[in-house]
Amino acid sequence: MESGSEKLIAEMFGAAGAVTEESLAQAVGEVRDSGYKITRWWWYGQPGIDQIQAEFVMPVEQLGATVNQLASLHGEERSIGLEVFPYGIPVLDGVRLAVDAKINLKQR
Amino acid sequence: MGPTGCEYRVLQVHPTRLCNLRCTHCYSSSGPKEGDTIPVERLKSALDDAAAEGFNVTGFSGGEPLLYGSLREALEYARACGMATTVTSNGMLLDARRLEILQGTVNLLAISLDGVPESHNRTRASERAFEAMAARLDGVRQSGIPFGFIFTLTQFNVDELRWVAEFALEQGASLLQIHPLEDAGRAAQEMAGASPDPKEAAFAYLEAASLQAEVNGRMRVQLDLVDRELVRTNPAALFADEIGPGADQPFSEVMSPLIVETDGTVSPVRYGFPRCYVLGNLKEARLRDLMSAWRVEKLPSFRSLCRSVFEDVTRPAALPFFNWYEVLSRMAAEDDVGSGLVPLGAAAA
Repeated sequence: MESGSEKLIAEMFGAAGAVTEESLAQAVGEVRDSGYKITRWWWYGQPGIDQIQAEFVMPVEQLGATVNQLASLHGEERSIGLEVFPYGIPVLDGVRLAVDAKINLKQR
Repeated sequence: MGPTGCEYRVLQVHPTRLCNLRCTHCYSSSGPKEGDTIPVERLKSALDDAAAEGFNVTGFSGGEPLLYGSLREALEYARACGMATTVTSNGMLLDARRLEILQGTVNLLAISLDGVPESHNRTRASERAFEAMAARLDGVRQSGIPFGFIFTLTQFNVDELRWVAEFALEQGASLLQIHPLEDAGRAAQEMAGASPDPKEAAFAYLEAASLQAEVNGRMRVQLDLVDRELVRTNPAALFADEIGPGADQPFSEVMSPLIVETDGTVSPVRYGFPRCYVLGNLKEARLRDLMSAWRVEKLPSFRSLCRSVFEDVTRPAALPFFNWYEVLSRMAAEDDVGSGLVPLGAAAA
């Protein structure tokens, strides 16, 4: 059975593609230096909850109810930031809602 | 400090092993015939003790936690104890009634997604697992409950990660979390040899970094592997610092994550951890007493184990990524040899 990376390489470079361990290690080093770092690792089935960000695209008529629901989550325990971007000129036909939620864990 | 950092001190609860699916990669060997559950009063007592020791996150997984009859009561209790809550689900049962249970009681809902629909269904041993889960996502979005997807990385599916990320983004997920397959429980029998090797792990890292850049902050991409280059200078992240916790430090700074298994067993670090290191059973004692005794009787040997693991994993290697939980459990299992205790993975079988 082909490994996932073999399939990935074939998709990217065709059947003749190959990646050596050295070139892979070099790529990893470059990406690490560019800033994508793993600082926490969670056990299987435990989602990391540092910060929650999401985007929803929805009809205009759904916006009010959704914003109300999200706003109701805002409080001491969690801060919710919302940004709304309209779509459609001159008549609005949809909106993009960006949600940025931070959980305020109790400091013990 | 441990793998979840200083800020997040995690109690993971498996309130039931009952599940509507019988997934091939299930580390807790859950399924439709596994009816055991934790009595909610016992769980609440454990939550009290955990909160008093500084645990600030409770994660509910299973089995399928939505099938735990007292889920809302347990979630509300955890929140009343000042803890953030997460629920990990296969997503198929997220109807309006169950979403109502989660609304206002869950900080993050994690839904399992194991690749393109065909792969997801094969892993979940169900022809309709993907379709049924996907059909629930509109309702999840409308509920306003923050949600993310958890992807199980194997030796054979890193090429599906991009599709998974695009799907997650389309659905409005806040998180894509990539866990390596754990060689435990049913996975040890049915998916033997499918855990990702260092090469697949490195590819997963490159894909995760690329995806994180592309989604530009709209979704977080978390990869649950350890980079040996980064931990060399931070042994505390692997419980391997020389000094260790003081006697007056709360237990959550001594051990996180802490796991409550369905039969009441309390394990350090992960479900099914070798039995010679477990804290004990909630049927026999309160969590606070188990924690106190473990600190005296087993913490020194656990930390010694962690030092050995640290020395092992920080040796130079061509590719840097590894699954700390897997390495730690394997080395801990060697301590079980000859002790007559239950080996890794067998607890849930």
